[in-house]
Amino acid sequence: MTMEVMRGMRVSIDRQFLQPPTVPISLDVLPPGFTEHPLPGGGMVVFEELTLPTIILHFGDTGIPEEVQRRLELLRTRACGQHLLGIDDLSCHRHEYIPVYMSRPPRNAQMSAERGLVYGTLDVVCKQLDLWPKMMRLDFDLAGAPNIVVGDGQFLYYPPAAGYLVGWTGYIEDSGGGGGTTQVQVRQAAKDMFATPGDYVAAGVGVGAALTNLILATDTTFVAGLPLEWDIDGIPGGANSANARLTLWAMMHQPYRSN
Amino acid sequence: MATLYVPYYGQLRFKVSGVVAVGDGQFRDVPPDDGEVITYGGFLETLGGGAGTSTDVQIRNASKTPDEDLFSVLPVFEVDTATGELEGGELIASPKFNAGDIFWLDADAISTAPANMHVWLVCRFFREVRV
Repeated sequence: MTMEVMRGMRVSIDRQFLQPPTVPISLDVLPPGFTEHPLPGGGMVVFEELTLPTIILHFGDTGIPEEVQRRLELLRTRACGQHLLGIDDLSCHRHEYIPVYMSRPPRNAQMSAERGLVYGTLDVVCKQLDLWPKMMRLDFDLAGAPNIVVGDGQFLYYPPAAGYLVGWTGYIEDSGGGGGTTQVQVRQAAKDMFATPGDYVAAGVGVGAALTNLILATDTTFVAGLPLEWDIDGIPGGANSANARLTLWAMMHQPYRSN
Repeated sequence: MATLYVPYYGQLRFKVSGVVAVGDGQFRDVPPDDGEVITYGGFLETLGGGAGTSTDVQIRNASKTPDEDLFSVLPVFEVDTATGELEGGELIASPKFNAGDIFWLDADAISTAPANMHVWLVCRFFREVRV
């Protein structure tokens, strides 16, 4: 995704706003990479985020050759290292700050001459640092065979780090019939994460439903290494719900290592 | 006190278990924060039959008025290419959204008996931080 640096948009490095002429013309936002792994004999696709998100700042400068070269060289030598990249979009009052590692661009910046002036360009690659704490998505999927039944620990998620829950959503593809709900709770050991369990309200066989009623507990902290367990506390009267997904958004802390 | 936005990457994920049929509102997901869609992908476990046919998907933001389709050109699962991956398609010019928007997965066309579909949107979310 390429973004033009428009009027009303300011870019800063380490909270120092870049001033003309050394203001990027545009920036490219590249997402983290992912790969797809179809499993032998069919089954779920697995994908992994392999590369860090990247932002490329495109600089352009016009003037007499020596001046352009000097300004771009200054930019080039200052770029290398860890910086806080700021993008302020005043049109929508969004002030975005991104910790990045800037790699030093090549010395020979692109230059083109026209009527005694030159136009130089320089691309600075900024890798977004993989910072903790970070938001992570935890998906709990339960197909039911053929239907969901009441029971504890029906899906386990081992958190890779400690953290706390900040949000939830969910959808069931077949909410079932006969009245009642498919009621869900998540706990770690004996600690419930929901003050009020979530409900997929039975709307009919083959009819989907969004998760409702769920209220997170005041304390939703969890530790690494112990599974978050998905309990089914209730099912519809027809015992015929299936294919539920519960999504939790968690803020994860950096894993602690003693040595 | 200032409000800053710290970006992070995540996904919105949709699935259809079992045989896929044409129809709107097949699966629902809700973003936790404001953000924008950067790219997308998908996998269809059973492509189904029918030479020259495909299963075409759309993701719709039902919280916009009117509903906003995220794809200006539909991405498809092609029977002929036999990869099972979501191919082609084009996002709209500004696929931005707000926290709490409701997204639906629609199937606009199908091959013969496709099954078990997964579609995901790779998003850049903005977490509001007050300092």
